[in-house]
Amino acid sequence: MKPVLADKYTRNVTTVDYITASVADRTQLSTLVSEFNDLLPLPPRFCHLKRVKSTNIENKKKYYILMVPFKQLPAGVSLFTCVKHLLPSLPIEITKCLGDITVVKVPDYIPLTSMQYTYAKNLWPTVYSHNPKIEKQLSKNPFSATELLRMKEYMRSALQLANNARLNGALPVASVIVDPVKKQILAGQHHSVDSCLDHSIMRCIQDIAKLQKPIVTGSKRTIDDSDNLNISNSSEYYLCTGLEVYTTQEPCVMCSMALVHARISKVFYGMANIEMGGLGSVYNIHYQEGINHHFDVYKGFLEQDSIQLFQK
Amino acid sequence: MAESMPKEHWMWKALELAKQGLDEGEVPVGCVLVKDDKILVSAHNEVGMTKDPTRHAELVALDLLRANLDKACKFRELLSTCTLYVTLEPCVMCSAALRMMGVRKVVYGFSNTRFGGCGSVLDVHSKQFQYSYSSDEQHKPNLTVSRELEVVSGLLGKEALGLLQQFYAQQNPNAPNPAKRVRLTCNELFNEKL
Ligand SMILES: [Zn+2]
Ligand SMILES: [Zn+2]
Repeated sequence: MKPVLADKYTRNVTTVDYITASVADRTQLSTLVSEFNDLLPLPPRFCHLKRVKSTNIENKKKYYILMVPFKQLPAGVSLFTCVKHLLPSLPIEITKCLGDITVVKVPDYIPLTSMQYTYAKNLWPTVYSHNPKIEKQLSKNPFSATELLRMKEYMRSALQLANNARLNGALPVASVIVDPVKKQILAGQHHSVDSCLDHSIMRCIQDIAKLQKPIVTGSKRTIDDSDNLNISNSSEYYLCTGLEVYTTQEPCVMCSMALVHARISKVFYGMANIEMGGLGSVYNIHYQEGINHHFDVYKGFLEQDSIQLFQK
Repeated sequence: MAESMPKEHWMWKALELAKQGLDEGEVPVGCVLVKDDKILVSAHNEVGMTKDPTRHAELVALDLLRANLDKACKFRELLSTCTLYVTLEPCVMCSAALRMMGVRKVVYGFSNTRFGGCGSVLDVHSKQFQYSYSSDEQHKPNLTVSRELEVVSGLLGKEALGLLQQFYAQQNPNAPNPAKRVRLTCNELFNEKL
């Protein structure tokens, strides 16, 4: 099981070449930093970088200060002439404090995870935007053993419904919607046999809706295999706020967006839906920019079981 | 038979549906599905009444049509010759449904900047899906989703927006400055009920 996160959280740290000057005299450091901040302010996209890096080699402290991105060095200016060129107004006594001019690799973006930060800070000191929620999702065990046991039960209920679907001649795909606080399955459905739009998630969301309104005679639909499930009959729910979906296959684009409309909180799925999946395969609707509701998605949960249903 | 009526004719019909929805307290979005100068089915948003966030006008219409069709009737084949007139750009969910069902064309009024799936938020209408429909044996796989959904936008968009603004004004009768509130919320209009 793996979280489906935006690339910015999972990518490796990329680097950019930056020109730096070494500073031998520590006492000049603060003057240098304020001069540099005035004369060579860091471009906004590099504001995550600290101005100065200190190294400690064989008990000898050495300091390096950022000048400009290597790419911004004008044509015809070399590393040897760049101080004179970039900082013509710098007082001579301060210029004298600057030692070797070298090019170093610095992290291109602000690190968003501890993994990125560990790597990035070795390159150059940087600000780090810590996000406990993302950190938990990325951790080795985002769920406790007890939680995981219960989650597997939910997924097995979905797998069983999917197997029923297969026996009924429908696609072997099914979902359950769970109230994680009450630890209760509220709806469970598989893909329908005849209508192409009656996907398991749409049917589950519709079942949750029925919990929210007084039962209208004549429009009641029985829930498939309801004897396997503990169906609650309360009306305390607002859409699917706070609820979780366990589904054997990644929801299609339609169902993914239905889950946005339903304000779902978490989705766990088995196999990917490469052709039409909306939570990782074709789109990432759960963190799509511009859409006002985001939710957590985990893929590959009991994946082999969900794939096997298609091979039977 | 080709369509001979002007597009506006059908959009006015869709607007009537939207207005009907407004009168019933629904988010005013309406649609009509047209084939050869004939309305096959019409619907408006029913999310408020059903508490079901999937009951957008487009899906209500598709489900209604499906329920009233003869079992033997080839639903997808029929839809591949139809045009949907809808007052608001279909959201991502409905756009995907239209793609999966192989509807030929959609004509919409106002752009759905919050959830639109025909270009505003995502490009579901033109996305290359590798989808093949396999559980429906009577139709060839790859027949439908491989074809893009033709989109015409902005037809009677002001009228569609007008209804949405009315809905919003009704929702907030105590708004201190109604005119300003409406203007402010044009972008925020599309809450979860759409
Ligand atoms: Zn689906
Ligand atoms: Zn919609």
